[in-house]
Amino acid sequence: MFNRRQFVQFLSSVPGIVATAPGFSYESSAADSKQKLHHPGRVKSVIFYYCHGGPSQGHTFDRPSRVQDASLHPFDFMRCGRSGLEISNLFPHLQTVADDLCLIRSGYGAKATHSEGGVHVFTGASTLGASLGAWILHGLGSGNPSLPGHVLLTGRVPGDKWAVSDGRVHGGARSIGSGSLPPSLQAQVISDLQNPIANLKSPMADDTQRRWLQELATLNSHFAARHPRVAELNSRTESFQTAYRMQTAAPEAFDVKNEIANPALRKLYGLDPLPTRSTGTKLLLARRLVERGVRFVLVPSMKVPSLEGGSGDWDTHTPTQVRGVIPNLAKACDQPLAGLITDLKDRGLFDQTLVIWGGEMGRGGNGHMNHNGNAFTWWMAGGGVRAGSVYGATDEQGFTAVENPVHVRDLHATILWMCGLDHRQLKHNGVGFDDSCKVAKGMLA
Amino acid sequence: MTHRIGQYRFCENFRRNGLVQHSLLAIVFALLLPAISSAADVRFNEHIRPILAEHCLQCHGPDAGKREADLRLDIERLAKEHAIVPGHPEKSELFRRLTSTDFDERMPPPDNGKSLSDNQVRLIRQWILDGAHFEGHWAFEPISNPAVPVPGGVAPTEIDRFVVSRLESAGLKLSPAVNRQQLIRRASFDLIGLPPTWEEVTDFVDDDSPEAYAKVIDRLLDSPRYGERWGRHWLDIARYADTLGGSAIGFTKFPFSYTYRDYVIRSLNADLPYDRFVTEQLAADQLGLPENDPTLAGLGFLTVGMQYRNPHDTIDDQIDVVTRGLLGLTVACARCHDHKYDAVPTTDYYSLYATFASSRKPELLPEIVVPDDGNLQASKKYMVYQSELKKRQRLHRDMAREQSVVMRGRLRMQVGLYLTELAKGTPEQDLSATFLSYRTDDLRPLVLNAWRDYLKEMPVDDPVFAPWMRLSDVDGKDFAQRCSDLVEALTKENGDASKFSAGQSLAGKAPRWNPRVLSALAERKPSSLIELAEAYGELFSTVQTEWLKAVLATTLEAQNGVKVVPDEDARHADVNSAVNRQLRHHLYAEGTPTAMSDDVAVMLLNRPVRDNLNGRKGAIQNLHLTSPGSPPRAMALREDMRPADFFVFRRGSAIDRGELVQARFLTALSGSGARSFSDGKRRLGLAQAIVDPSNPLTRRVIVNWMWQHHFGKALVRTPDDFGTRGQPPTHPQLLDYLAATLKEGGWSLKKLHRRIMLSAVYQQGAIENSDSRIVDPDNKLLWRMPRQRLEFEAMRDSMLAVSGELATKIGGRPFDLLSKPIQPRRTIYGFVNRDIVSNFASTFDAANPNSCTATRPTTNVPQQTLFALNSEFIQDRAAALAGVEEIVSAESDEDRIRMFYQRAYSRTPERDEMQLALRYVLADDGSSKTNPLHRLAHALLASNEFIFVD
Repeated sequence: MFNRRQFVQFLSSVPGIVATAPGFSYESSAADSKQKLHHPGRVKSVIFYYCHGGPSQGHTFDRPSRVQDASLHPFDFMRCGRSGLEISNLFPHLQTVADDLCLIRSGYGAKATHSEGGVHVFTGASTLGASLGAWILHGLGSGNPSLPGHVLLTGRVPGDKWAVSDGRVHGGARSIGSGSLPPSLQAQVISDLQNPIANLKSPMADDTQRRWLQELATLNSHFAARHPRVAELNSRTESFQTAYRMQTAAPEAFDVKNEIANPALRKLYGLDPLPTRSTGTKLLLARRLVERGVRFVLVPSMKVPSLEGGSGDWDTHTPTQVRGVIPNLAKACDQPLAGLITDLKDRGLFDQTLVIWGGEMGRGGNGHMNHNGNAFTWWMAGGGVRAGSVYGATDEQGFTAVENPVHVRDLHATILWMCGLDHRQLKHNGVGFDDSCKVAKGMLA
Repeated sequence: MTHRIGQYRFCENFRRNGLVQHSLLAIVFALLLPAISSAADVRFNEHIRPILAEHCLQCHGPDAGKREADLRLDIERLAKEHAIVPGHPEKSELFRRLTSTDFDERMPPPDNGKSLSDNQVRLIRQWILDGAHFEGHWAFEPISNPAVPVPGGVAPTEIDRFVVSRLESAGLKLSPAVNRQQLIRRASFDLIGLPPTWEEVTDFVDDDSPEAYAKVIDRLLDSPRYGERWGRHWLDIARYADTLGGSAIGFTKFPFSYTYRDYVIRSLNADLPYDRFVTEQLAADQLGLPENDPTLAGLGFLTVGMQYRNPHDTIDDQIDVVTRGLLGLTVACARCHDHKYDAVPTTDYYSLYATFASSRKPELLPEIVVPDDGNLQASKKYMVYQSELKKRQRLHRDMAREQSVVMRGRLRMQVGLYLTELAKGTPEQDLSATFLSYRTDDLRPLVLNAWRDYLKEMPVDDPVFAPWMRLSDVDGKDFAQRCSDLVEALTKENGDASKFSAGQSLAGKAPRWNPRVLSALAERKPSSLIELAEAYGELFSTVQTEWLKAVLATTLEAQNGVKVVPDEDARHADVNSAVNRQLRHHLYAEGTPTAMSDDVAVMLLNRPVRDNLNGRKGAIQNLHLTSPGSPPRAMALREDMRPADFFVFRRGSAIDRGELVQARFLTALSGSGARSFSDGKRRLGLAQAIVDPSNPLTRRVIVNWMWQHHFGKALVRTPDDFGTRGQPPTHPQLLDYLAATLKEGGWSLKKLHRRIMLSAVYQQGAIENSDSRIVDPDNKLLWRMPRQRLEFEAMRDSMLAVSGELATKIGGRPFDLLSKPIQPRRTIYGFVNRDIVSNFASTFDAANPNSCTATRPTTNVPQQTLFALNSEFIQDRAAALAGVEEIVSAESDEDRIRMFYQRAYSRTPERDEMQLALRYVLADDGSSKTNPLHRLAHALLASNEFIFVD
């Protein structure tokens, strides 16, 4: 019987099958997708915690110096760490890692409706309608041929009776799509952790499958003999090797069983308290994936119960929603995100991973808790950003970005820059990014 | 006719005749030796235009907004006036700047990363030396009727003569023809997306008649499967999906998208002439058809796209699908600025905007009667549906009507809120971007705009608003004084107040200036426009309150047993008062801001009410979607007979209005004197302009697209961009020849299929040839047939066909591709979700349902092979194949294997293949749960020979 190594050797010896590694799960025929950095970049992977509904900057990371209606602002802020960043007391764990964060308070150029806003905040810089994750995967190429390079993690862990939804992205498929880039660059949606990728499980025993693959290789070699030197045939033939490897590599990557049994990790990510259990597990999984070379992991926030009855997401319009929902939304992500940052540091991955927190728009302006495209806050941490810093500022009420305003498109250009990619050179069939994108150099480490 | 390309006017002495004479050699050279730069080789369209487009036109091109130094390099006259001295590169500013070593002078600016290569600079130099001749962009030149060349070698058809002479001039020739088994397999996949049955293969192989192959083509073209195959190609263009899109929570289905899909299949099967096909899809409602004509479903081309909340984006999507899909032009980028590379100014974009914006979807889509629906309209289930529909419509309408009354009533109390906002100078709001989470006291931007517009048109001598009109420009510190002067003057003009005090008289007349306004102002003494607004607001809310009370009182007079009140009784003073009527006019008369229709009023409701109302609408949609008696309906449009005015939106912003635009066609295609489309038939006008035989793009685009689906690669490799940034055709004459024959053949697509497939070029093998590969590595000259992988749909359908399971039912509501047990219908009938694009479809490069797709990319991801390796689908098909009656009952494994090959590969296995297969089957030690024949069938379906069309 074959063992795996012999099997691969066997495949390589069959005429028409080339032994070189097949690159990534995505091989573009376009000449301009050379997986070569434009300049040295630290970031190899991005984990984006997306706050569904447009988080209020005034209650989280951008304390307004003047408020019109104090009842709308029941939460205190504290200066934290050596950097003295002001962070809402709703985030006690993130306060402890303040010196790792770069708070971006001057975001603008968002669209103030959810669906359009979601599409815009993920694809707004691209003239091809491709999402940021698709571009990063296109630009960096795969970091692991046995795993999808761009994923969206959603769902609740068994036993989570607290969260009210699985987590979605406003704008639907377009927000995580590949636009006019090849479709395989769009995010693979992973909603079932037991069965993360379709068709991974072979119905045949390993021996039987290897004999079957041998038979298939024979069939293909007959066909290849009649059609020598045809790249398309070879690459499809080769990809059976990759698929064969994926059968074991992918379940291993997605299997969090051992890690969630580790008490230290349970504590770090908050896997015991109900409000942080699902988010903690997804962020732990995100770390496993970036550790294995996945380029872009998107984790959308879930709907949570309100302290005043009902439930909600970050789309908090009313005082009731502010008082009832925001504390739980913050709680759901605070400890898991702080845990993620600590874990990445412990494993030496922090420098090559970019963690982003943000939504599709900000809040404030007319009505004071309404949708706002003129000011929003994101924060980033990890590879490439200036740690313990604040970038930009809003007016005294926090309604408009006034100092160092940074457009949604500029954020994309800046994130790409951290990855070693220059949006002016990153193209597909000669087309790439909006001319007006600028890199916000002040955010860079 | 001569074609003038908008503001492009190119050198008259360089016309198409010159092009034809020189082109054969020159283009071959240009293709093969792009780096050459000696005299006579440098041609504007092949060499210079791409350089200008990529490096210069962004700042020195058609976009007036971004133009630098007032220099245009895309217009010969202007370029030569300022930057080019023909014959003298060193005297030409263009060349000097390109080669300058001074950082500040160098062009393109060194920091924008667009510098020219040395070879490009050499080309520019040579071109200027040669006289700097400009040429019109090829795609806008009229379609020529080129002479068919006479090659030296064998070239049986006219198409072959074009291709073979190009090959010969590069020293190449066609590959040998494929054998008959391969040919019928190729033809079947191409036309119907399925492999031939073994019987069809043997019939063809045994048919000695010279028409044998033509008969196969005709049989395939006549098959209803043809429309399913080519319909799917068309649906890529039409960005077809079964959901509305953009939904954050779940997704919403179109109940009737399938009627468009079925229209496409029906039309292609009927070989509807392409010009008619286009016209119906843009304007079926304007062709005078009966109201339940199934052709109306063709309008789905415009309506089946992504449904944006913002109407501007929905129209943008329509403009994109029409221009990119039918004309090969990227017009959508002219939404915010003039096109940077092509002659498409923003006014062109908004002319198309005006064309589409004057149409809307009818509240209830028209029912259509489609063939083979079993006389649905006479059935019991239809009656059940109808009565339920009426019930649900009533629930919706009753609530909408009442809530509209409530809404209008409140807005009449809130006049002050809006006038105050206007007094503050609040700018116009973009209604499309507003969100809806209203409380009763929230300002409605739509109403604010209505008040703004209403006051803009207000006569200065309006009895009620005269003071407002006369005081609205008055400076702050004079305000109080000017106001009291005005009130005094107007009061004086009114004369004796006692004359108009008898309110209850029906004959009573109001004075020239409304006295209640004057006394309100006299009492309030406003010292600013804001205070004036407040005074008006207070008065209007009083008037509204009095009126409602009066209405209540007069209504109660009709109560049973109440004593009748005479009409001119003092108790009717308020109702009868002409003075009050003057005021109420501005609250209730048609066209006033608060007298909006129910349709508008419901959009302004507080969020919970609106959500509830939408739920009732949803219940209607749901009935359409799920009731067995729900008849098919066309996703139709209706055009306003008297459309509103439309303007350019500066930089794409809906509140920054520029010049007024007419609904008309693109200037680049119809000249600047294009006539406007007639009101009420704007889309028909557009359709006619698109299919006008003098339009140089439409026919080129469609024949190019057909060529692509036969050959895997198009003649213009950018089938949705024939503009400056697109690629020039590999065979310009052939492209024009095909476009010309399309028209001669009455725009029949089937005739064109036949013509293409009868050519030797089409019948040649896909054989690799290293000598040819060296000369023409990209196979642009077609020295071999490009090999094609089966698309997602063809792959799935073919597996079902080979296993004998494929269902042949045509049309109807979509089915779930992932349902278990699977439905063995053709994939084109599968549900397409644009909100949650299925991993299954995207893994296999299915078209993006959110925008017009002319070419699907071909990627190779391991998830595809995982599907081939492990999916339940492929294993079930393999088992079904192994379980086919004649295979099970065959005498030997050898017979079974032979039948596998015949079904899956359209051939019999060779001797060594048979030996290997038998060995595989016999070597089975029984340890596996699965049958070795199943596994062999599985391997055949997973193999390259099955997935690639030979």
